[in-house]
Amino acid sequence: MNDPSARKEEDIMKASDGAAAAAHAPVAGKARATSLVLSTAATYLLPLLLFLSVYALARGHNLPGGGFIGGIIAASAFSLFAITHDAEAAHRALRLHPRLYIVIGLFLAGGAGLAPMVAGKPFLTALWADAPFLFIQEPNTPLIFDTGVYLVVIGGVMTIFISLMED
Amino acid sequence: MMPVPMIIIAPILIPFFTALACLAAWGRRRVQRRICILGAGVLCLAGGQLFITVWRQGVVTLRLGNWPAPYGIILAADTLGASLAAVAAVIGLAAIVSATYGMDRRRETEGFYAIAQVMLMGACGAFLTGDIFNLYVWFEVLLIASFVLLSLGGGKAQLEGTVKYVALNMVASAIFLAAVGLFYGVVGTLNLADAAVKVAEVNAPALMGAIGLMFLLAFGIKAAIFPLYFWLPAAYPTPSFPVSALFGGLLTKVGLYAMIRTHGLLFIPHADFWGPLLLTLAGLTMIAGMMGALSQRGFGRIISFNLVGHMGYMLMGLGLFSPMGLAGAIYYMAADMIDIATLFLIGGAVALATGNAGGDTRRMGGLWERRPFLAALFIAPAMSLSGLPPMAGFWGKLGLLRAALADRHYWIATAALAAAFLTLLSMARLWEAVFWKPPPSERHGGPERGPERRPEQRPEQRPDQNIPFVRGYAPILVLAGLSLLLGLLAEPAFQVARSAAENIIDPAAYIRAALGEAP
Repeated sequence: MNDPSARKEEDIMKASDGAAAAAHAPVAGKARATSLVLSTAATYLLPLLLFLSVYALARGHNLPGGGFIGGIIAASAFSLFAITHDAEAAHRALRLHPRLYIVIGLFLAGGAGLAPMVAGKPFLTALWADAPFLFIQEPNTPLIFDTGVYLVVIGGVMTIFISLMED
Repeated sequence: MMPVPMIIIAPILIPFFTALACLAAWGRRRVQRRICILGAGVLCLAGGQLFITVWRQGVVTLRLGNWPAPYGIILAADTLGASLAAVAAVIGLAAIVSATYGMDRRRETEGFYAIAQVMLMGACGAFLTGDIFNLYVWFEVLLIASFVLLSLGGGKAQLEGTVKYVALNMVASAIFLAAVGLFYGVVGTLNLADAAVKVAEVNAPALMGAIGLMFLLAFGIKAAIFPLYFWLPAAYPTPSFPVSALFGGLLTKVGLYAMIRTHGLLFIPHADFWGPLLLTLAGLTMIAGMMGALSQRGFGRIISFNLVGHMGYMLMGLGLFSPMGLAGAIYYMAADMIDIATLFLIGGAVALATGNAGGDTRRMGGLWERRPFLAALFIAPAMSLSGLPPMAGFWGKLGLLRAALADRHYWIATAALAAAFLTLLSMARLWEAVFWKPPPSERHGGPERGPERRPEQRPEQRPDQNIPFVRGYAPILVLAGLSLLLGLLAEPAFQVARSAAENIIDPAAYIRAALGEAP
């Protein structure tokens, strides 16, 4: 169950491809207040910041970082992208509707709480596995919970941000 | 071992996942309706099951994350919390079913179902938690959910009520949080059971009194007691009526429940001034609320002021702090939750039947002829609220009065009787205005001109709008029946309340179970 973060990285790479394409597409008839330098930089900052956010998420259990701060970093990356391009481009870069990020995130967090109940332990008890899985030393339920928080923060911030932009 | 922890967390997890499913089905009204009704139904079953479990086995606890008791957060369901959670689930189901006919499409698709479930989760969480800080978190969940529900699809009056509501409740939350911090500084624990033990060793009466007053202020704003009730009649009648029913049934009662829990466990047993203070506030709440109710003309506002006035009865039970008084308050709380929610639902049906969205009773009348069934249904909660036998409200008031007389608090008994009389007056006037007097078209003389020429009418609210039986009347019927049942089964129901009250006054069993020692 640690693959959400792994999958996340694939998504990031795809998202950045899409983002780069979107950045180079000419926007006809729309006056934009941003500079070419900033919008080009944002295109390349997006994957970089997203990678940093996943890094912050993954180290978060014992070191500074975690789901919330990772989510904030990712949301700021998408927000920067939304400012320099437009709301539509941000939607494309996000792939899913921000609301679905919230739903999936809450579902992951709730599921991480439910999982130990199957094993007969109280809600939210942390379960740790010894076997390493991909790049994660000890797959555990707190990481799933944190991934859920990460997605909820992205979804929440982007819902607010894009709604404000579209107004 | 296994089924017990599952059942205590079920009333929190079921609404959580139902809300998620509703969120996933955003914009699809029919799917959301089905998910939400199914979730509320399952929640009712879980609430009933939890109550049965608690009644058979005593206090049920669950250590979240398996952290040991005074350090981690625990959930602890005793008779009081479990029974209130069950009642809240039933009211939630009734309000949600009513929303399928009484709410406009925009509000329905814009998240009512998801947020209503969040609200149920918040209420159940507050009823079941055994930790003061966790209680604060559930209050925040409730506040955010109620903020969204209040402003949903808002018009001007609705937003005005929302702003008052949110501003005041934010203040209440801040005071609550400050009080939690001070309490932790003095007592050194936020686990309710642990605190109940340690608070006896704290020798700082002035500080504890101040902290207790801060809690009283915070919960008093939420519970709308005198003199902090003025936001309620401004906010409650403005949203769509299923929302009002949900608020009227759950929110203020959660505030009062928190008062019973914290003050009953931590403050009242250790200082003498609480009894007179709470009784004074109770008397003033009753009289001020009922006077307000009599001065109003709008259906929703009359019910809202009645709601305020009747918070006084529950506060009176807490002020008496005798097994009988507290049992009366707890029994009355369950009855009042049901009755107020029923009245708000009837108010919604009346508004649809008369095409009078504002609920101004001066422009109503004659519904007795056109909607005899609705008129008959109105009698049940009205009688219960006024304290007429055999309805539930009668037994609650009787218990409270007997407790007051037994302790020689004659003036609060007088105030309670006066408030009951004023309620009767208010309900009779409401009945007369809405159902009994001739309809406006006949009153103003001349031949009946038909409903289509009334000035206040708007196109989407035709006067004779049909009320579907299953979705419209059935929730009201179920709640009214529940109130009657609670009255007819007063003996066993009072035993439950009595056992809940004794658990508050002598919390030894609660403390033992919550701290994880052998029962």
